[in-house]
Amino acid sequence: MTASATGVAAPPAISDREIASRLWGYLRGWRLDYAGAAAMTAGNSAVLLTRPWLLHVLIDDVFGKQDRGLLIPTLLGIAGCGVALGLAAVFGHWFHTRAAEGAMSRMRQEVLQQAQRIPIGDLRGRRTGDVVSHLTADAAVISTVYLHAVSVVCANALRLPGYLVIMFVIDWRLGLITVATLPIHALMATRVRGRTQAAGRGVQNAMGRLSAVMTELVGGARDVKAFNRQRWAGERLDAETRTLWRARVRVALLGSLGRTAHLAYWAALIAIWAFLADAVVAGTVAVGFLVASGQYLLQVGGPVRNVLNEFVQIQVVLGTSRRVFGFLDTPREVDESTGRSLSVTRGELQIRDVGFSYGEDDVLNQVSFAASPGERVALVGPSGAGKSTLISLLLKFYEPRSGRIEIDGQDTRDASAASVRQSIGVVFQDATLFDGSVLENISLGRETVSEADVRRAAVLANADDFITALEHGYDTNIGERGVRLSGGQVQRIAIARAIVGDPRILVLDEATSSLDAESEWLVQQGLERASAGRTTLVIAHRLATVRQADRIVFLDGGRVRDAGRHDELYARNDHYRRLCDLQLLRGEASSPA
Amino acid sequence: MVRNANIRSLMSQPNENIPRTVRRMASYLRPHWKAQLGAVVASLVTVGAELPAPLLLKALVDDVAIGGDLSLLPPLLIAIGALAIAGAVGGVAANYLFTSAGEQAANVLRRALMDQVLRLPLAYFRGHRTGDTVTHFTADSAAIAEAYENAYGNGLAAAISVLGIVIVVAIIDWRFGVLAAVLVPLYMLLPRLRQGHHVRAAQSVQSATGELGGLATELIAGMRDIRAFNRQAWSLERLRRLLLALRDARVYQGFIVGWTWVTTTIFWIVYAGIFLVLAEPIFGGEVTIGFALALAGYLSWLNREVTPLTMAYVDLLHAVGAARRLFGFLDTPAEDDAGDGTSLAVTRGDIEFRGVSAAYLADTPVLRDVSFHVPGGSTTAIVGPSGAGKSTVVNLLLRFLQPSAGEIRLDGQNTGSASATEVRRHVGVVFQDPVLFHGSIADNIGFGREGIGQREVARAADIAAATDFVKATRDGFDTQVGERALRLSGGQAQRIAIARAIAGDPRVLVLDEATSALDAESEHLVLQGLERAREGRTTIVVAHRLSTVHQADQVVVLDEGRVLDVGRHGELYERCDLYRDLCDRQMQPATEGRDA
Repeated sequence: MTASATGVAAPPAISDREIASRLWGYLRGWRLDYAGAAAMTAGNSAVLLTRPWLLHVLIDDVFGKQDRGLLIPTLLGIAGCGVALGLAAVFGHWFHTRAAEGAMSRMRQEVLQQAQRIPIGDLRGRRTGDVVSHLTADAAVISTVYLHAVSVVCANALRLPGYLVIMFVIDWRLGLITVATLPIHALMATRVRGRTQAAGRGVQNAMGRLSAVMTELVGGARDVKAFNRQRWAGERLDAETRTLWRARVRVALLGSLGRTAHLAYWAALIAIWAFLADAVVAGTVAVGFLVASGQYLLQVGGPVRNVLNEFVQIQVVLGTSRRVFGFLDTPREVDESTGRSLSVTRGELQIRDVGFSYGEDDVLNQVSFAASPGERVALVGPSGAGKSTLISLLLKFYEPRSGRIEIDGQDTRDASAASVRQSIGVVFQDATLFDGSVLENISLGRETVSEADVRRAAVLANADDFITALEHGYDTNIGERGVRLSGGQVQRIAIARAIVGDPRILVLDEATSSLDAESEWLVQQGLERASAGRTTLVIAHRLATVRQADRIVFLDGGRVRDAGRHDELYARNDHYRRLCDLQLLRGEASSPA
Repeated sequence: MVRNANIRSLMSQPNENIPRTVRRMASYLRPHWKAQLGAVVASLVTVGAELPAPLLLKALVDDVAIGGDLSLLPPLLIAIGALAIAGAVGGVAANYLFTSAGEQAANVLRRALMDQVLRLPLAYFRGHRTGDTVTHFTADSAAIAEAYENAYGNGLAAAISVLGIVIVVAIIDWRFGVLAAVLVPLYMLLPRLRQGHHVRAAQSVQSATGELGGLATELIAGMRDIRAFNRQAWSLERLRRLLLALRDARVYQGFIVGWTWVTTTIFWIVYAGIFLVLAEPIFGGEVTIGFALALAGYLSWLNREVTPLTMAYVDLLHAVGAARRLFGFLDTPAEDDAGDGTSLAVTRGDIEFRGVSAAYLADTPVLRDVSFHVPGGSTTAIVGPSGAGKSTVVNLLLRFLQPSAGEIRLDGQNTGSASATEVRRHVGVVFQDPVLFHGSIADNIGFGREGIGQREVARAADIAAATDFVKATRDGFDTQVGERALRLSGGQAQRIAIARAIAGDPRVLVLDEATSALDAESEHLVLQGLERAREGRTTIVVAHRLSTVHQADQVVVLDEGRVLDVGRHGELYERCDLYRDLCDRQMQPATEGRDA
C-alpha cells in the first residue's frame, strides 16, 4: 500500500478560517445573489419569530379578553406569515442556487487551470482520477456550503437570541429555563461534532475508493471477462460498497443522535409547566403566554438541530475544501505564464550539458547534441535511457537541473513555456482525441488557424483522403462519442495537429510505434511530408524508422554514448550494434528464406 | 445517439412508467425487508408516542391552567416526558434501519450494474464513453440511494405520521378529520402537477453532470497534449461552456423545487381558517381554547409531515430520472452467455474454424466464411492489413462475439453450445494493453484462475520470464501494482500478463498483438517469455509485426474478412502478393523512400 492510497499527497495545513475566507472569495460576482439569498433566509427567520406571538395574541387578547375586532387582523397576520414563508423559500432557493453554481463554476475553472500548470508528471495514474473528482464530486460537495449550510447556520444563530429575548419578555423564569436547555444542546453539538467529522470523512474516502475501483473495473471489463473473473470483480466492488455502507450508517446514526437533542424541548416544556402552572392558576401568567412559549421552545430546538445537521455538512465541506485547496496550492514547479518570448525562424536546436532527475537518480547526465535547421536527428536507446524525459524538457514540462536548451541560439530557461511550445510541433505515441469534429481536433480552437490551414495540414499529414471520405468530412465528430478512427488515422490527425501552426521544430515521440505495418506506412508518408523543411527530432525504438536520419544520438543510462550516422555507429558502437541485432531478428524474419 | 433519443422520448411522456420505475427501484429493497419492517415498527412506535402530545397539551391548558386542577399536573408531565423519550428512541432506530436498508439496496444496485458491465458485449463500449458508464455508478446510483433514504425512509415515516394524525383528528371531531383527509392529497397533488418539470429538470441536471464527468476526464487525461499545444485557454473555454449549461439546469431545478414550498403557504392559510371557523364557538364557550389549540397543533404537525412527504415525492421523481438512465443501461441486451451447459473436454487444444461469418452490426459482416484448422500444440499466426478481421477472430475465440454462421470447434466439439465461461476456461489470452488491477503481483497473476496457489503463481512467472524482475522489486510477488501503486514498464506488464494467461494452464493461448507496443529490448524479453509459454499449447498469434510470425507453423492471411491464403511463411512470401507486400512494407517504411 502506498501512502497516497486515499488521496492527494499530504495537503498543506490550511486553517478552517482560511478555508472559510477562501470560500467567501469564490462568491465574487455572485454576492448580490448571495445577499438576496441571505435576505430571504432572514425573512424566513422573522416570520418564524412572529408566528407564536400572533398565537399568544389570539388566545389571550382575542379569545381571553373577547376582543372580536382583533380576530381578523390576527388571522390575516398568520396567513400572511404563510405567504411570506412560501415566497422566501422559492426565491431563497433560486438565489442560493445561482450563487452556489457561480462560485463552483469559478472553483472548477481554477482546478482546471491548476491542472494546466502543475508539473505534468503529477497528473499520472491515480492523480488523474483525483483531479477529475476535484472537478466533479468534490465541487458538488463544496457547493452545499453556498446552497444552505452557511445561511442555515447564520439564520439560526440570529433566531436564537430573538427567541431568548421574547422568552424573557414573557416571563423571566421562562427565559431562564430556555437558557438552561442551551447547554444540553451545546453538549450534544460538541460530543457529536468530532465523531461526525470523522464519519463524514469516512464517507468521502469510501466514495473515492469506490469510484476508483469502479473506474478500474469498467476499464478492465475486457480482461475480467476473458479470464472469467466476474465474481472476483463483483466481490471487489462489494468490499468497497460495504465500507461505504458502514460509513453512511455511521453518519446517519450520529445525525439522528444529534436530533434527539429535541428531548431538551420536552424537558423544558415539562419544567415550564411544573414551575408556572401555579402562576397560571393564580392568574399572574396568561394561558396564551404559556402556549406561545411552548411554541418558542419547540423552535429553539430547531436552530440547534439545524445547526447540528449543517455542522455535519460544513465539516464535510471543510474536509473536501482542504483536499481541493491542497491541490490548488500544489507548488507549480514550472511557471508557464511568464518569461521571454522566443523568436524562432530557423529551428536550430542546441542541447547543452543537460542533466535531470525526477528523484534521486539521474535520468539525464551531461547530455549535449545539436540539430541544425532542417536536420533530422533520431534519439535511440534502450527503454529507460532518458529519451522521453529529454522531450519533456524540450517542451518545458520540466526544467533541466543543469545545463540548458537553446532554440535558434536563445536560452529557453527564461523563455515562456508557451513560446517554446509554439515553435515545436509534437506527435505523441498515443495522441488524445477530444470530443469534437476533425476540424476542432486539428485546430484545437486556435484562432489564428483557418479552415484552409487545417486542410493544408491534413493533406501534408496524409489525412485529407480519409477525412473527406467520412460522412461529414471535416465536421465529423471523432470524440469518444463520435466515429471511431483507426490508430493510423488518429496518428495522422495528430500529425496535422502538430504542423498546423507551422512550427520550425517537429518532435516525433514514438509516433508510429503502436501501429500495424500498413498504417505505419501511411503515417510515415504523412510524417515525411510534414517534416520537410523542419528540424525533426525522432524517438523510435524501431530502428528501421530512424536509419535514414541525418544523425543518430545513442542514449543509454541517461548519457549520450555516441552520435553519428547509422553505419558509423553500427561499425563502432557495440551497444548500438546489439540493439540493432535484437531488431534484426525481425529483419531475418520477413526476408524470404 | 440512440440513448439520447430514448431519453427524449421518455421526457415527452414524463407521466408514463413512473410507477413501474418506482416499483423496480423498490424491488431492490425487498431483500432487506427485515430492516424495512423494523424501521416501520420503529416509526410506528415514534408516531404512537408522539401522537398524544397535543391532547396532553390540551389537558394542560383546559384542565390544569384554566380548570385549575393542579393534581393532574404531575401525571400529565410524566406522561409527556416518557412518551418523548420513547419517540426519540424509536426515531433513532427508524433512521438507522432506513439508512442501512437504503444503502444496502443501493449497493445491490451497484453490484447489478457491475454485473451488467461484465455481461455486456464488448461492442457496447465501443459506442459509449467509459465516463458515461462510470456516471451510472456514481451519480445515478447516488441519486437512487438518496431516494431510498428520503423517499422510502423519511417518506414512509412521514406517511405513517400523516395517517396517525388524520385518524386522531377524526376521533376528536369527524368534520376536521375529513378536512385533514382532504388536505393531504391536495398537498400531494400540487407537486404532481409539476412532476413533468421535475423529471425534466432532474434529467437535464443529471445529463449535464454526466457530461461534466466525461469532459473532466478527457481534459485531465489529455493534459499533456493540451499543454504541448498551448491549448489551455481552449480547454478552459470548453469547461466554461459546459459549466454554464450545468448552472442553468441547476438554477431551473432549484426554482422548480422551491415551488414545493407553496404547500406550506396554503397550510398556514388553512390554520388561520380553523380559528376563523372556530371563533364563534369559542366566544360562545361551546369549544375550549385547548381544543382549538390541539386541533391547530395536529394540523400544523400534519404540515410538518406533509413537507417531508412531498419532498420525498420530489426526491423520488429525481431518482426516477436517474433510475431510467440506469435501468436503461441494465436492460441493454447482455452478452449471449447461456449456452446449454455443455462442458468441453479439451486435451489437445485442436481448433477449427468452419465457415465462420461474424458481424458486430447485423448488416455489416466483418468475417465471411472463414475456415482454417489449427492442430493441437501448433502455432498459427493470423496476419492481414488493418480491418481484415484479425481482432474479430480473437473476439470469436474468447466468445466476446458469437459467429452468425458456421462453427468454431475445440477438440472437435462445437463451442457454440457451451457457455462463454466454459470456452474461456480453455483459452488464455495476452492483450496488447493488458489491464493490471490494483493488488499484488501475485494477485494479478492469480487473476488467471480462481483459487490458484503460490507455487503455481511462481511457476507461471518463471515460464513468462517474469521472475527476475519481480524478485528485484521491493516486496517481490507481494509488490502492489496497478493504477494506484508501482507502475510497471510495458515489457514488465506484458510478462505479468503472460504469466496471468498461462496460470490456469489453458490448452489454447491467444496472443493479440502482445508485443506490438513494446520497444525492441522489451519485446525481446517478452518473446523469450512467450517462447516457453507456448510449449505444449495451441497458440494463435495475431500480429502486425511479423517477428513472431516466422516461427509459426502456419500463417493465415486475412483480407476484408476472408481467408486469402494459408501456408508457411516461405510459401506465402512466394505466392501471396498481399503477404509479400505486408512483409516488404514493414521492412521498408516510407523513410527509406525519402532519398529516392
